[in-house]
Amino acid sequence: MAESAATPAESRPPGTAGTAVEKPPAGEETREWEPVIVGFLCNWCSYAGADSAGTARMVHPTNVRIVRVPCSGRVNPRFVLRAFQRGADGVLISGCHPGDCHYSTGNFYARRRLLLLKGYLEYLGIDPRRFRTHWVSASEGQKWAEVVRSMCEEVKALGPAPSLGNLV
Amino acid sequence: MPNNPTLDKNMTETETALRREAARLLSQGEVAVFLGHEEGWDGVPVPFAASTAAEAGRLVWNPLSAPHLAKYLLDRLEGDEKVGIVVNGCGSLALDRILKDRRFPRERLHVVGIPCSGMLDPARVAALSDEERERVLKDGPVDPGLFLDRCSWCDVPNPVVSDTLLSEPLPVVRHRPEYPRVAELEAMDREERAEYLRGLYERCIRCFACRNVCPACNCRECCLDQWEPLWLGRATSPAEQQMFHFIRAFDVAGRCIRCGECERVCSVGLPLMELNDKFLKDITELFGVERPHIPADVEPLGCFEPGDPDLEDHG
Amino acid sequence: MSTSLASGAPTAPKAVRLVRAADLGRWLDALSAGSRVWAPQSVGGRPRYRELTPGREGRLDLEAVRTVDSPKAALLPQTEPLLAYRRAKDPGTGRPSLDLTPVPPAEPVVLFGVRPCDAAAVELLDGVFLTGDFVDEHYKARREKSVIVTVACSAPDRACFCTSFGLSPGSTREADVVLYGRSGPGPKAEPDAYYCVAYSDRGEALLTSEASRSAGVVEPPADEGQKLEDTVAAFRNLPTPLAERVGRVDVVDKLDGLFESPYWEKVAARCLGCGTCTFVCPTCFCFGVADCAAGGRGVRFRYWDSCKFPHFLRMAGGHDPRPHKKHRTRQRFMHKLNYHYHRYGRYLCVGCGRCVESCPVGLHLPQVADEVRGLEG
Repeated sequence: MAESAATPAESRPPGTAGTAVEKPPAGEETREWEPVIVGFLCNWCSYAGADSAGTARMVHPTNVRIVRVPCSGRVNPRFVLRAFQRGADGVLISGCHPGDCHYSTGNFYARRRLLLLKGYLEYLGIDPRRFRTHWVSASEGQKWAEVVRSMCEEVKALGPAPSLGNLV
Repeated sequence: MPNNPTLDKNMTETETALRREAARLLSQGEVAVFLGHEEGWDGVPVPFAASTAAEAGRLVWNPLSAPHLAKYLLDRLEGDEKVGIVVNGCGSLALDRILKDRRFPRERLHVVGIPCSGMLDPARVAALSDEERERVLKDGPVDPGLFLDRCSWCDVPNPVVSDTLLSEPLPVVRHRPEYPRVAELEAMDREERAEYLRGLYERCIRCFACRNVCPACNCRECCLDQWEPLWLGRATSPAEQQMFHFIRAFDVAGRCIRCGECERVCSVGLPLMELNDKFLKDITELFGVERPHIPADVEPLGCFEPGDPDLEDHG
Repeated sequence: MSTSLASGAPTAPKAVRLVRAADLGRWLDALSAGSRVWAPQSVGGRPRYRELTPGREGRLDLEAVRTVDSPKAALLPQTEPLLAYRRAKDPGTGRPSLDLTPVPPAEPVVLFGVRPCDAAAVELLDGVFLTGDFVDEHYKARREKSVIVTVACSAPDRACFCTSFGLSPGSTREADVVLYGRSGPGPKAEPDAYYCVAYSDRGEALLTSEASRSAGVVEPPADEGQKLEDTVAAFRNLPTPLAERVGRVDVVDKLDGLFESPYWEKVAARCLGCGTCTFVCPTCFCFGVADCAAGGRGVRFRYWDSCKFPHFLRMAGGHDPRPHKKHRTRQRFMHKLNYHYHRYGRYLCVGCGRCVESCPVGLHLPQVADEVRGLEG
């Protein structure tokens, strides 16, 4: 457990909230295994929500590698498929609450796409607990911390995602 | 309710009418080229582009005229010449897909439509004995299993796009699409399914025939060909093999016309529609689109309802 | 067409054995002990040529006329790691460096149940990878440790045309051992036993090894000498159906003048632009090199590429010398029937019939070879 985003958002270069930590190289696994979760956060709500969790010094796990996107509607399902393929143990997508999209409707489109993706991932044999979608607004730092904590616990309990068989 | 495909008894007359119409269009300069089928070396119709009235005499229309032609329009995007094309019901869905995706201008087309009650699967017919094949192609009766899979659920016998119809429209009986193969897979354990898919896509030789024949795979540049970003690694590792097909299916979700051409051209016989059908089924269940394979002005993923199912996880 | 091997009569047999069909499984198991073994197998209802791996799906299918994919993958894998690397620190200077690890050396491999045309294709691959100014070390390592066990074709089908290129259903070219069905060729031949004839030292070593002997590869009855000779001749003299239509293919001179022919537009109009023909072809050898890297580690590998793909020739600056399907389709047929002949004195085709069978739109080499004969130019 470590503090995430402990520095005020303004003093950091943009796009560095929750900076990723490298997985320990194979053979040096002396530490306890930690899941790698890739998070796609919309710039206007969830990324700001994660920031507010940080500025409020809420303690939550640092397993989520955050990718800031302009809108949850920007999340191409391929992002998620690729993340799992390249070894992510979980993928988290978070955006503005329906109706609150900065671009009015982006997250409504995203919702349709992600609903299909959810069913599809399970169909492809990926445990649905490894893929989560949430609506987190800019003021919901508390919720963000809770989402991350519960997802980390769950994925940690599941263990590493089964390898799909990459060359590396 | 399944469809009962039959063979059109008047195909010879239709073929004559097709040749005449194509020859007219070409000789009067209404089109510069006419896309149809000619007889291939083994007697099975293959795609053919006739560019003179004389060549129009080589056009064929018979129970094996299965290959769709609309995708070839993308080879003719340059220039402004008019293109003639022959379509049956499902062929017109492929054409409509390309038109609705605004990948070819309607005004450059002359569409000759043929109502169709069923087409045979050339591969299944090729596997018959010589006498059996002769009999089937001459006067039937035909085992329903010899038809293309798509014929068994088709309820679009008449072209949805056409400028000329070569025969009378057929009666239409609508029915709800069913997806038995998806249900079969869904009934498996998740792990079992993962194992199954892994073994399946390991067989793929990465020839891209499935993508190239697909009327919904009509992007200017395919993401699978891109190097930057590298959506698909060039290694044929199990992970990349699966990713290829998982991406391919998702990229046509909501736009797949369920023609099954991808399966027909697969040289290693992969049941590719198992992935595509999953989306069609879910689109119906989640968004209430009853016939998701019919191209619509606005695609299921190109719109939304404020009351769409809730997405948020609570955990 | 008779025993028309362009390079003359086959070399004299170095060893002759007999194996019962029922013992083939046992023999393959015995061979697997010292080598990797590839063999034709039925996978998902289709004949495939793959490595025999315990526990992996697949059933030996020696009498399939042709497998969907050719045996070339055993010598030129579709994805072949060339080296592995890992980000490191130079212990002396503390500077970042790369640890390079060469791939493990090639293991011995037996290519079992190869068709004579596919074995002849290996000769063409050898020409490309092992002769001239550049020798491909990776191919060479695999090739040197390979033994090719051919099975003569008892029933060439309507897509077969090896005789158009001077081969035959009993060709011994590049074969270390040839299996001939004892009952001779025939449409319904399901041989109960095979004559095994070694034509090279490697083949002889394989046939006379203790592993083979104990698996039931035995001396044939002494009085079957004449029968063996007749059987071999029968396979060599067997006609191939599609060659009856195509005849002997010799179009190199004709094609010299056809580069700009409008014919290629006609061909391209039908081509789907997929890579099926190139990937199932036993003689297509084009490849690309790419990296797969993650977390400071990576593998550089080569992978099959296809001249039919739009990006095949695209250069770093974005220029593509073959921007249209017409150029790419022409390239493949010209390479097979003209360019390769000029460089190596051979056509780059062995008449296996895979493009005939697998092309989704029925566009294949024998048809093109036949049609260009009639063209002006």
